[in-house]
Amino acid sequence: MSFLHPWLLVGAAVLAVPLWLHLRARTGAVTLFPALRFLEDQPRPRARGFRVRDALLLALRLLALLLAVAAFARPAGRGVLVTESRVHVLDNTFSQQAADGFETDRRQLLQELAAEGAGVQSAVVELTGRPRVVAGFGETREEAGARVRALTPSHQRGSYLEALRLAGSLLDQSLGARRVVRVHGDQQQNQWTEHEGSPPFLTGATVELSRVPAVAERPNLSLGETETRYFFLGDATYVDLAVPLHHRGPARSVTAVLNVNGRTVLRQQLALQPPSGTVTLQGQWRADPSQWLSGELLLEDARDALPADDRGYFCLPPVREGRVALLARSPYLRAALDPSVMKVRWAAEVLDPAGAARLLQADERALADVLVVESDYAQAQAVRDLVFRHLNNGRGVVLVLGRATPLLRPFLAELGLTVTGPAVAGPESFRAIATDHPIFRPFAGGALGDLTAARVLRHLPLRAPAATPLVYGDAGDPLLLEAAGTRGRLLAFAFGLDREGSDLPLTPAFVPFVDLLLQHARAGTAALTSALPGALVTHHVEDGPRPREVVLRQGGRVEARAAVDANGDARLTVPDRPGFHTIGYDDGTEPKGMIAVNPSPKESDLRYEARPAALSAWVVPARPEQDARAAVAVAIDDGRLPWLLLLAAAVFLAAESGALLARRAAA
Amino acid sequence: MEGFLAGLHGSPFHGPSVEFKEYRDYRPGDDPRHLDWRLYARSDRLCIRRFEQETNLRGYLLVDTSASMAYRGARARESKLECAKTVALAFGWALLRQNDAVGVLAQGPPEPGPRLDGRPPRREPRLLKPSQKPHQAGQLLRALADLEAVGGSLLPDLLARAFAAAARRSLLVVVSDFLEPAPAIQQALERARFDGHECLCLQVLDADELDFPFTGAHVFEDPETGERRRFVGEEARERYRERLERFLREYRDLWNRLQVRHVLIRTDEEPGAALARGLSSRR
Repeated sequence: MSFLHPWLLVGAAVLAVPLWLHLRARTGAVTLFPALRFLEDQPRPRARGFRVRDALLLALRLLALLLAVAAFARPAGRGVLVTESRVHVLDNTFSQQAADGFETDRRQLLQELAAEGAGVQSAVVELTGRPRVVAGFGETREEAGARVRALTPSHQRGSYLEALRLAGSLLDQSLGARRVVRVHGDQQQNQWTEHEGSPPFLTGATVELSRVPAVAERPNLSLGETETRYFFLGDATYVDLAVPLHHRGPARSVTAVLNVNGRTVLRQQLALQPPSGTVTLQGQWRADPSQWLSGELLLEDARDALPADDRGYFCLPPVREGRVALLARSPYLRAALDPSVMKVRWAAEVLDPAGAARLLQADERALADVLVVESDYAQAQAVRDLVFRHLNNGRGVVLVLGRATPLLRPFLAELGLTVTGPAVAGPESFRAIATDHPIFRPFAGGALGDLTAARVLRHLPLRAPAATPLVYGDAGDPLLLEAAGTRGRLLAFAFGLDREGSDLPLTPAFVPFVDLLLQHARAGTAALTSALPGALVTHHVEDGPRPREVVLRQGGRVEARAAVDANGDARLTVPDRPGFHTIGYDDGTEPKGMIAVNPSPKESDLRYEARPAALSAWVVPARPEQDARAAVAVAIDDGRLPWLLLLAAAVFLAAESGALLARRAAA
Repeated sequence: MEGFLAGLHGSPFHGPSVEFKEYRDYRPGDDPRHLDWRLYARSDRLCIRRFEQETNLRGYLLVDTSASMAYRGARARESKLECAKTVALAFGWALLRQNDAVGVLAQGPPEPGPRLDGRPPRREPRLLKPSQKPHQAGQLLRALADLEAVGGSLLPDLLARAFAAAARRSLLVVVSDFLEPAPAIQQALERARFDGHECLCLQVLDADELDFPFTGAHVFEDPETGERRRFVGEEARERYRERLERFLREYRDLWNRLQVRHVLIRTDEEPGAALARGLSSRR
């Protein structure tokens, strides 16, 4: 046995104290007295002599002190030569729930941990949304095994790259001459290819895959990210829903069921075309705009490898009246945004350049959700500045570019839009429309009108390499673009919404089109209604009395709490399981928000990679002659042993005290 | 003190070891030992011979410095040796005031280190020769102050050295606790008497040694012999006192027989007063 702090054994010198006291007690105190001859009849004092009980007491005292000294010196187990340091990465992402992948890999990991020799240092990393160290090199095999057994299957999306980075940082602090990373996972293909281009970061280590995928892919049906939005027909409010259904495998049909607020809205059998593909499920139904909407879409009889992704959740907050700041002369825009038309949905404020200047100085909360600006108004510097203020504050901006002046071109260039020539006379129709875009998808049913019937009479030729064209004209010019690179959403018309620019305002589709356009532009400021499992989300408390904390509940159970900061934000970690969660304030039961938690659709892509190319990109192979490290001998510190020694010392001291008391009582 | 000294050796100016000076007629009351009978035979005249001291009395202060003299009990004013020094100094001072010569004789500390022949270590005697000169008082003080109690039984050896030092009849003032057995010094005292020396024994004992006030269990060790005894005070007291009384009685008998003056001084008493009381009671 060795000691971690051998220098503390010097404390054994304290054993001399009871020894000296013991010897001194045997002789007793002696007084010098000259007239001793007159006591010659008195007996000579004998040395106390050896008495067994004294020896036992001395032995108990010495042993107790010795044990205490040894405890402080931290005895360690037999020193061992560490030849290998090994980090086990256990894939605990959602895809591992297919074919019991997680349980299989966990069993394998536990077997390997139990079989590892004393010369192997082991650590375990769990791969989830945020890879973490489950057991470090300092933990014993038993502790590591217990922690691995305590893990539960996760619904999160994880990155092999992040997990291997974490493993590499652990190995940098390890002692073994050989360094190994063992990956226990399903080797999902998109997990390897997602960051395949990352530069090498793992040097001097070997990456081993614990198992080869049994198959290259597994059949699976899964629901993608659900998109929902309101649209209005007259006074009626409808919800438009679109969700992609991904299928892979031999399945030829599946039944989709839509439940909204506890009521089945739709049940439909869908035909599937093997071997794989994506079908967009779309539905529209009338809804109460004043209530939270919570819906569930599920696939019945899917019979696939991962049943947990056959269900998707979504929620939609009550219609919240948005604020529009209108810097436009178009009577059609003003009419479309009239309170009598857009009541409950939009409150428009018509501004002029002076009003724009006033808004520049106002508090951020005074800014509208969406700013609509015609090109003529953009001549004023205050208006241009207001556009940037909105975008920088995450607000939406819609530019209606009927004319381009020399003053306007630099402004547009700053927004990533380039006018390449003079205005082009039309008429042009909406030749190509991004029908899967949230603005246009609700039109697919035909109830909202036909946007293709609109004519553009005059438009500006725009080029925007970083923007996404949503509508093309007949000549191939983009007529409506969504710019990228700004914090708020920027949509730009290449034509005016007046009689000279287009007859779109005269079509029945114009009002719902404006509504959907503004909804999309405002979406950047909308409240959070969806999240990935285990994600960290921020809930912003709207204006009004600020609560102390935000509480996340599922059913009646509290899942998470977070304090509200000075900005009105609260950060919560969403639970690691799909479903609905309500957001409340303090101890109130009234829901202030809802979050639908769904696994990442990427995890449903059950294709596997036996020999991932990413490893050759991430790992710099070990060079035996240059990277060889001397094996390090390390004493095993059994943290329990010092406490056992101290306990034993206390027992011996108690026994000694008891013996002394017994002797005194007998005396 | 002077009265005592006068009684000890007669008139300060006359003594047995003086030369004849003159005759005077006998008067009733004169010491008949001084009658010159030869003159009476020749002249039919009773005359007293008058002598003159050749020198004043020579006195030796013999101080016992054995280890037992270092004892100091709980009730003592000082240790026995310190008390002995005080008493000796007082006596010596008185002799000097009478123009008597006084000196000090004591055993020194043992030589350091063991002897190769296995004998006890040598002790050099410390001798201050008697003198009556004015500076002798200071010498006396220094000689007594330097004395330390160390070593085993020294009194018989001290007396023997005194005889060697004292060429003529002298006054030997022995200051000791006299805890040696009486026979040990009996021979020395007899020799002293034979040589014509006057002896005065001042026995210094501690109150604890005389009263044995100890209670409870004790272990005592003799500082000179290293012997140890274990006892319970209440149980041993009576027997101790009996043995002590018997011991002291032996000494008293010895002194009486040898006509040696003896004074017992307790260390819990003021030394001068104890000495004066003891000397005056002996007259």
